[in-house]
Amino acid sequence: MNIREIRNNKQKAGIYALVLIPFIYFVYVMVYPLIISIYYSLTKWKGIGNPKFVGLSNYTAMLQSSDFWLVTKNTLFLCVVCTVGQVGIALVIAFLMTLRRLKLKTFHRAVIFFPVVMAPIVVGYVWRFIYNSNYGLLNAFLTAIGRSDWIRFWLDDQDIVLRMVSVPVIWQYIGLYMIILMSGISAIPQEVFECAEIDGATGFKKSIYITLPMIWDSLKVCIILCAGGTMKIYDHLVALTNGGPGRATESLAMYCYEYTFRFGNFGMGAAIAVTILVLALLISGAIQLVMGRRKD
Amino acid sequence: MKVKSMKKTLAIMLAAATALSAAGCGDASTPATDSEPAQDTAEDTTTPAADTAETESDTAGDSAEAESADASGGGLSGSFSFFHFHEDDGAGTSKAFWNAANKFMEANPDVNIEFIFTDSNNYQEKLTTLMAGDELPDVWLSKGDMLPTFADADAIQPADQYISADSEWAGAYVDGAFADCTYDGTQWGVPFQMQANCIGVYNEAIFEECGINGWPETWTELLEDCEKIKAAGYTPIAMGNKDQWLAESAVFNTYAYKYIDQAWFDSLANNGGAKFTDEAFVRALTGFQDIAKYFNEDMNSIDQDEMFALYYNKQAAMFFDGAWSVGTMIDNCPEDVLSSTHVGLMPAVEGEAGTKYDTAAGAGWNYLISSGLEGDDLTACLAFLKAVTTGEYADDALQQGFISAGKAANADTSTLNPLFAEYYELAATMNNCSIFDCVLPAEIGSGVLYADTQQLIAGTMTPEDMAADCQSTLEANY
Repeated sequence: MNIREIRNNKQKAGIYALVLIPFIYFVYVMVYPLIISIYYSLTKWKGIGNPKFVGLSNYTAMLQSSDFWLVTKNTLFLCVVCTVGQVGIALVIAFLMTLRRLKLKTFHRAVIFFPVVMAPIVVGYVWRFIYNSNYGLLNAFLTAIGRSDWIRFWLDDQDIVLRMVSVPVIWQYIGLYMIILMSGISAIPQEVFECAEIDGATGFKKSIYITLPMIWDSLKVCIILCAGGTMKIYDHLVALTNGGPGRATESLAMYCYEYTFRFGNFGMGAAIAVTILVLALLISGAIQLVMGRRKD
Repeated sequence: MKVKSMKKTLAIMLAAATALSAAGCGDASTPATDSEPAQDTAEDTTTPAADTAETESDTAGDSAEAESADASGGGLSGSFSFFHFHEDDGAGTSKAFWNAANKFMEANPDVNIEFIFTDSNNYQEKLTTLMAGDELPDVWLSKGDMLPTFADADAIQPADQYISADSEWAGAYVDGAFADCTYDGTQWGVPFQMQANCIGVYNEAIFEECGINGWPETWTELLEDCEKIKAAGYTPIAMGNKDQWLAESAVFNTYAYKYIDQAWFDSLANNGGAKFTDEAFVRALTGFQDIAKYFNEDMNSIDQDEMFALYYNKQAAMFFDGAWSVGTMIDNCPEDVLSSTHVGLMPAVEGEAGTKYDTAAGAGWNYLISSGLEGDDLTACLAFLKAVTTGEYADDALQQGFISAGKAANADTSTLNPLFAEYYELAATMNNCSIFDCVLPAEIGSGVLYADTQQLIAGTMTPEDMAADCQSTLEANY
């Protein structure tokens, strides 16, 4: 329906009524739980009985905990590494997909997209077997190519484990952002590229000076989605390391789950959940700000 | 035209899917305010075993009616929901439970039990979720660390008032069975098992190959044996601590009792003056960090099952784990390895007060009864709990390869599996001490102690730092 077709108030009322249904649903499943979470974060509640209002003491205790800062650091590290890795590699692949000489594009696209449809917990377990020190694929490969000296205990070494767990996450979601960016590229009019070719632009120059600026909004969406998604990272880490050794690979979402369901401290769990939300909003806002300016 | 029609169909399908998902959300939240909240959930999650049991109870109904009431209370009526982690095809505890439960239901066809099953790994989380949703069932399993939460909120009723009123029932438990379900001087729960949280399991053939004559009596001997085993190319002690609980709960907990005693732990748990930073506890942490060099290097990235695999494949000479591992060995260990597998107590440390008999052990989990259960339902529930924790259950439990909290008065120990018989003899000599993560608040017991022990054995945390970290968390939770 086009806006110009709305001729009277009755039609308008009908449209608003239709919009109201999903809006009420959204408020019920998103806004209401959020408000409840904020309320619980200001209480001491073990999950049973009446919550006791304690003001900001959960937040104070959380901010004073060294574990909180460690898991926040882990989460932000994964957020940066995964965003750069996923969207960066996806962008390069999307550019390569525009090459005329590239054959079997559909096949490449399907293969790269395939991990996206797998459950994160499955990906975690698959990569746990790859990293296994006894029968893992990675160490077997290193042995086969004569680089046994590179063999490490990939998920036990506290110095490298956080980088190791980021690899499966990056690997899994490259395909998703590749598809989004490719759809952005396909929307660029062919005439623009043809004009550039006549002017002597090469493949690289076309990508940097034409494709990139014209898919800037798609790229921004990808980065926001990826950064926001990584802030909630949970399944991969549970399957790979369960947050260990110690808390070396524990994320904020795992920390929140631990307090809520393992310790039964719902007040603190809610405070951590609200913190995750605030951090995700801040990161999204910062990306909007930085990338918006770049576009201008 | 065709495309337009397809789009319309797709739009209708999507709208229907959205409406259905909304309806699904509505249903799930409704029972929270219901007077019988767990009813729907219970029906949805009843285990196949329960189905079987109920079917059996239906078919056996006529014959059961004809029989007179047995010790488990025939002729009862009532209904209650029962939240548990006993697998229908499990071994040991689960098998003995279902044998006793099925027998009870056959004898009491008018008792309707709604079994709600969740596997033991996720049980605590599911219980917390039910608790927060005000959907607790009538009977559930809980560790001692959650007792204060339930008791202070009047969510449970003391079990001792009913058990002590029945002299036969009261005398049917082994000494110390109620230690893990006692809070504020009241015994709130009904125990069903008594198992050691730590037992040494070793391959005698590998020991002999390395020139070791039997299980070590002292810690020094154990260290010397580990050196010999390591020199022979084996992993001396297998460890699978990916899930963080094994190193702390099943090994370090008992090792700590070589340095500290029950009185010290009681003082620590009740803010009586003992601290994690006390010299003896720090010495225990230091000693444990030293033994970690004999664990497999990937100790923090493999789990318990992978640890067992190291032992099955003769890559490791021994491991320490809870008594449940004895049953696992009997069920899954290759025949040649099982035939040379034996068990031993964790050796004492010379110069320290603890003995080799001091072992973290106990009931761990207990059945708790909702404060809302009353009348015939409560009577039926009590009879059921008696049947699945004492009497024939205890005798059967031994045959299934585990020690129950009930006295096994009529068990034939000559028919026990040889490996379990070895453990059974050792268990009789043990001095049972509290299990840390069953008593301490979860933030300490299953939180900081687990995470820090993982770092301790990895060598990335000093004993002093771990002690200080544990103490500060404990003080925040007193």
